[in-house]
Parts: sequence; C-alpha cells; structure tokens
Amino acid sequence: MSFPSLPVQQPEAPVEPETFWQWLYSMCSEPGVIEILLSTVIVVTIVFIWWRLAGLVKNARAREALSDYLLGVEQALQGNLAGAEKRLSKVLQQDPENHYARLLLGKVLSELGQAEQAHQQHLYLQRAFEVESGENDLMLAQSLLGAGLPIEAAEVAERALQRMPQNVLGWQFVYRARLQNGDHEAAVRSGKKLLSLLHNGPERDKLRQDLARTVAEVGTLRWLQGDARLALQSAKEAEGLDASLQRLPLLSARLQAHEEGVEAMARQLSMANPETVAAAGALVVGGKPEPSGGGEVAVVAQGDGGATKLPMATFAGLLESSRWSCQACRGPLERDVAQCPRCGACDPAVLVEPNLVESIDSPTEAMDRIDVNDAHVQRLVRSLGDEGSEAHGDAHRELMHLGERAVDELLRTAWKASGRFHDDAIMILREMGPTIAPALFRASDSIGKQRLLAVGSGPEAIVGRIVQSYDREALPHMQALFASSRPDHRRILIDYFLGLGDVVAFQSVLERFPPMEILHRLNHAEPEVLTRFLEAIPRGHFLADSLLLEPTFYRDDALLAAVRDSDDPEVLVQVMLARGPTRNLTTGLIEGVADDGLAATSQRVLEELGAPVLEHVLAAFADPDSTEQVQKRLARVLVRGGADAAAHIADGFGPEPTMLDDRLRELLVIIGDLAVEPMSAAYERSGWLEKVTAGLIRRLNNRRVQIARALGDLGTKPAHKALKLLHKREKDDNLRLHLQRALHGQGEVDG
Amino acid sequence: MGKIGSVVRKGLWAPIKAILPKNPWLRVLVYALPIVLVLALFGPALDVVLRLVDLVIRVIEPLLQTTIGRILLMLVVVTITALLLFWLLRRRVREMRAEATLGRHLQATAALVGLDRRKSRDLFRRVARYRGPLPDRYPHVVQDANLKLARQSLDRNKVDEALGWLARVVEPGLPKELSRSLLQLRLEALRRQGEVLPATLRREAEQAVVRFPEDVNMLAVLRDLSESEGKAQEVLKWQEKIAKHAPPATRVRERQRYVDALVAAGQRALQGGEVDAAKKIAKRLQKAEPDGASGKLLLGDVHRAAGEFRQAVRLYGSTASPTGLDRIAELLGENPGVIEPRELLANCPMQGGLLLVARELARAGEYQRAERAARVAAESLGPTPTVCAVLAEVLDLLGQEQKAQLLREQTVARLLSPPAN
Repeated sequence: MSFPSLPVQQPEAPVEPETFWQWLYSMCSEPGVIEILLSTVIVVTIVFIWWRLAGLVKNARAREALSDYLLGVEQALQGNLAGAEKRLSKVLQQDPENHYARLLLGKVLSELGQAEQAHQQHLYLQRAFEVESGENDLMLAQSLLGAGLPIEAAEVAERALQRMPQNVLGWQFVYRARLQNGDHEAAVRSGKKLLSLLHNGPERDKLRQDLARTVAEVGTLRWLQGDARLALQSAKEAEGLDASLQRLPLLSARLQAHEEGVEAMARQLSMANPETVAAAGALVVGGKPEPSGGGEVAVVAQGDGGATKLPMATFAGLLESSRWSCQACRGPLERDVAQCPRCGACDPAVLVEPNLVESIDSPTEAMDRIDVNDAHVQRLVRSLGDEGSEAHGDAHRELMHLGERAVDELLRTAWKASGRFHDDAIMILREMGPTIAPALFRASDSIGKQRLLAVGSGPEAIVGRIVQSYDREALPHMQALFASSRPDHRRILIDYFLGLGDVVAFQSVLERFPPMEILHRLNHAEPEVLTRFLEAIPRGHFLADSLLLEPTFYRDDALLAAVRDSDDPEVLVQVMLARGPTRNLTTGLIEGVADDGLAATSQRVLEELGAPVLEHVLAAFADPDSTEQVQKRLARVLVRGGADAAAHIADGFGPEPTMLDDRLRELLVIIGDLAVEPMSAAYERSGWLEKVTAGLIRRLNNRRVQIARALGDLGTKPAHKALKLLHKREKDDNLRLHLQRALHGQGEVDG
Repeated sequence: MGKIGSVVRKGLWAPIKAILPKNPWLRVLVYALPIVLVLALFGPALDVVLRLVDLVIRVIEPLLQTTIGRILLMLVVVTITALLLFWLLRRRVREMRAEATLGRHLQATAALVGLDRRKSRDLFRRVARYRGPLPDRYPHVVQDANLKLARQSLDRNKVDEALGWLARVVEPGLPKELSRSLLQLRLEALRRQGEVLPATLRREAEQAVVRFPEDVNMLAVLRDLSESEGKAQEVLKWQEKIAKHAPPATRVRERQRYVDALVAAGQRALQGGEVDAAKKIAKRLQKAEPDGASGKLLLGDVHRAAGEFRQAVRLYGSTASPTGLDRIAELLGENPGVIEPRELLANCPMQGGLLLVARELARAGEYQRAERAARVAAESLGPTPTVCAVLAEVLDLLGQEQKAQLLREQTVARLLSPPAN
C-alpha cells in the first residue's frame, strides 16, 4: 500500500508585525474613514470657534453700563479720580457684579484718600462675592494701610502674596507697611524677598541702601536688648548691603565699645582728629572748633569723603545730621514732612532733640538768671515761699550757688518776712558759711541806711544769729570787725565769740571791749549759746573770778544750766555761791531741783546758800503742783536748813488745818531738837490781830495746834520740856488741852 | 415710475409682506414656489435643468469613487454652505464680531485691572488689530485699546512703541475722556522720547492744558519743560497748579514740592541780589505753608542779606524750629556780636537759644556770663548731643579744654552705653 505523497508543507514565512503607521494608513485607506475624520475636525473647529465667540459675546452682553465702565477705567488710569469714581459708582449701581469695576473703584477711592470706603469695596469682593483674587487682597491691604492699620495691612498682603509670590509691588507694599508699623525685623524679611525679585538697576540699589538701614535698625534694637552677637551679625549684614550707611557708625561703635569698654572707646573717638581720620575713612567725632569756621564743631561721617560742617553740629560721625526723624520707621527726615518718603506714614516727623525748640517761659527771666541781676535774685528768694514745690528746691540750690550775690536779698527777706519764709532765708545764709560774712555785714549796713524809722529790731539781729552759728573757720572773716566802731558790728562780734564757746578766743574780746558791753551781750545771748560758752570757763579765769560775779549779770539760769556739761562744774558752783541768793538764781535752783541732771547741784547750792533761800524753798515745797520727787528733794534742803528752816515751817501753818500740815509737821520732826526752839518761839508769837484786840480774839488757832502736835510727835526731852513750858504759860483752855494731850502723847484732838 | 413703484410697494406688497412667515427659510421657500411652478410650465427649460443636474451628477460621481474626490467634494459643500450661511446671516455675523471684539476688550481691561499686564497686552493687541464693524455700545473700542497699549508701553519705558500705538488712534470722534488720555500719553511719550523740539512739545502741552486745565500730568509736563529751560517763575506757576489739582494721595507730596521750589527760587533770587523778588516768594511761601517755617526762614534770609540782622534773628527765632536755630547760629558765626544776648533770647525764645547765648558770650570774652549761660542751658536741655557739642565748644572758648574734652567723652560714652534698664 502506498500512500499518496503529501505535498511538502513549506514552513511559514515569518509575518512582520504591523507598525502603527501601517495600521493607520490601512485604516484610513478604508472607504469613508478619512472623510468622517475630516468632517469631525471641521465640525469640532466650527463648534470651538462658535463657543469662543459666544463666550466673548456673552461676556460683553452681560455687562451693563459698559461705556461708563470702560471710560471710568480710562479716567482712573489717566488720573481723573473724581470722574472715575463717579462713573464706576454709576456702573456698580447698574451692574453690581462687575467685580473689576468694584476693584478699580476701591483703588480709586483709596487714592482719593477715602480708605474706609475703599476697604468696604474690597471687602465686598472678598466676602460678599467670594472673589479669590490676590489683587483684591493687595488693594484691601492698601486700604487698611490708608486707614492707619499697618499691621493688619501687612498681614493681609502677605497672605495675598502666598498666591502670587513673584509680585514685586506686593512685596514693596509689605516692606513699607512693616516699616510704617515699626516692625523692622519683619520689614527686613520682606525687603530681602523684594531684593531677590528686582533686577539690577537703580531701583534695586536704592532698595539695598534702604534695607541696609532697616537691618541696622534691627541691629540697634538687638543691642538695646543686650544681644551683642545678633547685633554684630546685623551690623555686618547692613555693611554688606551698604557700607556708606549713616546709621552704621553708631552701631559699630557701640558694638566695639561692648568689646573694648565704653570709656576707652569714647576717649578714642573723641580724641581723634576729624581731618586725618576722615581721610582714612574711619569713624570720627570731631571736637576742635574750626579756626576759620567761626567755631563750628567739625564732624565727619564715615564714607562721606570729607568733613560736613554744621552750624550747630551734633556728633554727626555717630549721629545723623538730620534734626527730624520718622516716628514710624525711625528714618531720618530733612524737615517736618507731611508724609514719610520711606514708609509713607502721615505726619511722621518728630524732632530728634525736641527740647531744643521748646519755648522758654520768659526770656527775660532766663537772661536775668544768666546776668544774675537783682531781679533774678529777688525771683529766687520769692520762690522760697513756695514751700514743698520744685521751684523751692531749685531756688535753694541756685541761691547757694550765687553765694555773696544773694546775701543782700536774703537778709532783707529774713528781716522783713516771718514764719517759714524767714527761717528758710536764715537757713540758706547760714548754709552759705562764713565766707559771706563781709557781704553779710555790708548788706546789713546797706539795709540799715535805708531804714527811715528805726522801729523794732534791725537786720543786725538776723546777722547776729547767723554769725553765731559760724565755727572757727569764720575767724579770719571776723577780724575786720574789730576795727569797726559800729555798735551793731561790735555786738555781732561778741555774739560770734560767745557762739564759738572758746574761752581762749574770747580773750581777744575781753582785751578789746569794756566789761559792761560784754556783760550786756552775755545778758542778751541765747540760752544755748551762753550755756555752751559758760561750760568752757576754766578755774581761775577772769570771767569766773570777776565778770560773772558782777551784779549786772542776770543770767544765773545759764550758770546753772552750764554746770551739767561743764569742763569744771565746781567753777560755776562757786560763781553761783559767790553771787549769792539772787532772785534769778534761787528761782533757777528751785526749778533745777526738778531736773534730774541738775537736782544734785541745785540742792547743794540751795543748801549752801542757807537761810535766805529757805523761805523760797518752803514755798516751792508747799506748791501743790510739785511732784513727789521734787518735794522730797526740797524737803531735804529744808531739813538741812535746820533751825532757820524750822522757823519758816512753823510760821508756815495756816489758820485752818490742811493736808500740808502733816507734811510740815513731819519736816519739823525730822529736823528734830533744832526745831524745838523755833517752834516754841512761833507758838508764843502772837499775830497782829491778837495784839490789837488785846485778848478779845481767841488764841486757839491751827498754827499753835500743829506746833503742839509736832512737839508731841517729836517726843524728845527738849520737846517735852518745851511743851511743859508752853502748857504752864498757856491760859487758853483749849490750847492747854491740846498741849496736855501732846504731853501725854494722846494724838489727834478734835477742832 | 418711482411713485408708482412706491405705491405698489406700500399698497400691494405690504399686506403680502405682513402675512409672510417670519422664518427666513420658509420665506425663501414661499418666494421660490411660484418660480418653480412657472418653470414647470416650460418643459424645455426643465430639460435644461435636468441636464444640468445630470451633468453635475456625472461630475460628482467620479469624485465619489476616490477618497480624495470625496474629500474635495465635502470641502466644497462645506464652503458653499458656509458662504451661503454667511450671506444669509451676514448682519448677525457682523454684530457677533463686534460683540466678540468688545468682549475681548473687556477681558483685556479686566486683566489690566487685575494687574495681569501680559495677558491684557496680548488681548489689547488683538483688539487693536480689529478692523471689522464696531460695537454700537462702545464704538471706541479700538482707539481705547490703542491708548491702553500706549500706556503699557510707556510703563515699560518703550517710548517709540507707545508713540506707534498713539499714532494709530483716530482722534476725530473720540470722547472727551479718551481725548484727554491721548493728549496726556502723547505729551508724556514725546517728552520721554526727547527728540521732539521743546517748542513743539510746549505748544502741544499748552494746547492740551487749555482743553484740560486741571490735568496734573499735563501740567507736570509743562513744569518739567520749564524746569529744563530754567524758567523758575513758570515752574512755580505750574507746580502751584499741580499742588492745587493733585489727587489727595499725592497732594501732600506735590505741595511739599511746591514749597521746595519756592524755597529754591527764593534762594536763587537772593543769590542773584533780587531782594524784592525774594520777598515776594517768601510771602507766597507763607501763603502756601501758613504753619510752616520756610516762609519766615526765607524772609529772615532776605533781611540777613540786607544786613538787617536783628530782623533776621527775630524771624528765624519766630519759626520755633531747629532750622531757625541753625540759621541764627550761622548768622552769629559770620557776624559775631550783632545782637545783644538779651535781645537774642527775646527774639529766639527757645531752649536752644540759651546755647546760642552761651556761645555768643564766650566768643565775646564774657566768661562768667558765658559759663552761667552754659549752666542754665545744660540744666534746661539736659545732656543731648547738640547741647554737649555746643557746650564743649563754649568750654573750649572759655579756655577749659580739659572740661570740654571730658564733656565730649561723656557724651560719646552716653551714646555708646546701653540703656540702664
């Protein structure tokens, strides 16, 4: 069997895969495809064009008051703001949804100075119409700035710039707003951003200079906050931006002073020669007046290339020469501008040194003060009357400064015025010290000559008081007075030496003045002055031996007062004893008993003075106002007085019994037997009434009763004997009864 | 004939026209119907028509066999249809073009207001190229676009381009607002271009100002022209008008400029020896700035130039300004002792006046009074830099160089020291 031969199967040729272009060609070769495609393209093109045109037409037809709108826009661009505002407002009335008209109206209103209304328009766009527009936000920020809200304006603008970070105008606005707000750090941030957006050119250079100033401001702020490191960083940054910045030298100097010490730096700067250092381009504060420049202070600023002479220049090397600065951005201003050219703040100018132009209340008074004429001194002295005020303190200082020039007026015031005013004048004259002594005497003479009627005390009394307060330093100034024959000068001189409290120095007075004159001044001296003087008297001095013993010396009180602090109290005691029981001394001694410091001396002197003072002592003892202590001390004096004292005491009993009777009786008992005889004598002594009436008046009285009781209380043998004798002689029954009871020690007897 | 035709039109045609359908297609059909009927009555004529149709089919048939033929056929049909439609809707198309241009202008304006300058420039350029029918609602659209383009060119400092756009503006028929812009921009462009003769520019500017006397930009051109020609009086005249008519936002600046110009003119007059002119300018200054110091300072300068130093000092002092103090210091520096210290202080009743008195006294050799004046000044003013500088000078004059040096050091040290708190 054979099989038919099978045709040999040829291997299939490899089929190349169809490319895209082959596929496209084959598809387009199909009938109708390309025509359909072409038709589609044509239709789509027509529809697209139609759609665009319809859109434009719709846009145009949607606008009402179109002519007004477009002309309003043109008016706004050409600067006819009033016309633009009118037209655009009209457009918005007819077509409130014309956002661009509203946007432009806001801008126009802002330029017209109606910032609040502009803000309203932009706010409508942002909030009412929900327009998300960076431009609108920027204009909103501008209106906020115009309304005086720089912080809010800057924040709104910065938010808007997040959407359009390449907007140069926006960053310029933020920079200015931050400056206007005084936030220099934020201004530096926006300024740097702006600098990166600007191309090289004058505008960029200007910004660099301005930014350098702002950076320097930041540096100054940091320096003020005590952060020197950051301040230095800012200074370097500012220098990198603009090395010729006027603000920079002060900051650099401050930082250098921080390193090297303020004093050294200040010395270095003030010693530098402006001419030479200016050539070297360094910082200089000029000092020497220009020989030919009428005395201007030459000042040189770094980088200026030469000295800048100003008529009343400040230290312009450190400070800027401008006298005005912007209170918002602190930039210098040439004058009192209405708008800061740097930050745009309105009415920004403030004086750098405002006190320079502060008005003087009275130029005449100021000039009087410079001339130190009479009017000025009189004004100053009058100011002393404003107690507690600042003027009072100023006047005090000024008068002290004037010294001799003010003496005449002060003395006149002290003489004429009274109260605190008078005291203040004297106090100032005293504070001026002894150097004014000659002027004081001259003033006194001058015032004295002007007196028409010599009624009352003259200014000499005041001068005397003042001079007495001087110490030894005034001695050279007082020597001239010895030659003066004027009685007032002589008085003042003696008073001064008295006031010194120096007996040795007083010798010159003793040698040149008659004792009567000296005694006269001693008698008129102030207690403290005289006491101080007496304290210094030594034993055997002429004063103690002679002058103070004069009966015309009336100041026994001062003698006693001086005992306490005296160098040698015994001297004064002896003087007192030698002077005897004068009325003044006795009174003083009795008063001194009440003084703990003087009691011992007083008691001693009283005791030694003896009988003449005992009656006064008894009177003081009987004084019901005396304290118990004083009474005890006086009782002791009386007791020491013995029989003399007893006689006074026995006579001291009154007609009727009193509380004092008991104390007197006690004294008599303490005196003891020495009192018996005086008591008996007092008992026997009849009063003048008894004598006149020849027995018609009863003998029975309190005195005799008290004496009888005292004798009874004494109880000694002489007392008993005296009682017996009295009883034997007594004819009055009642008295006899009292005497009898005293004899038998039966105590109290009724009336 | 005309009358008959008119009668026929009004008497016979009008009722027919009234009953005709409003749709233009139907109306064409109604018009065509009687013609077709009439043609049907004429067989030969119909044959001709049929033959023509046959001819057309014979021409078309081969075209339908190939792709290119079909494409050509389709394009022909579309073109004919488009032309027919355009012919039929030509009025509407004109209106639409105008409105579309207006719409584009509005878009450009919106971009301009919205600060998108590039887009607005492109759109304005397209509007400016437009030569079709103008929109009824704003027929000045092209001129407006030209003006805006000119303004933008000026803003970009492309003066020649701006002049080109301005030259394309058709002036007759322009509304007042656009005319003002045209004049304003043309003046500015010509001024910046700098090649036009000054006389030409001045004539143009003066004519423009006659039409628009309150336009600040035009006035500014005149001012700048006068300035470049050195006509000071004219500069003042124009600047005064500018200050008067400037918008509030710039009024302050312009007023300041006016004052500065007056001051400069006054100084020039003084330097030229024209005392009367300077006096007049001083009065104008006082009028322009009643509360300012410039007028009094200039008047003081006038008196100073005339040798009336007392009057000068009085006027300087009455300004109560630091500049016044500086001027007095200058005057006294040049003419020491021209005024008694008491009179000086009475005429210059400021704290700073005390410094002047101190320096005058020191210069006059009255050392005690000078010292007292310095002390009074220092007490009143405190240790400010100016005070210290002047007092140091006074001390120098008094022969107390050590004290002066110390004072300077202290002042500088105070500047360099950080605040206490």
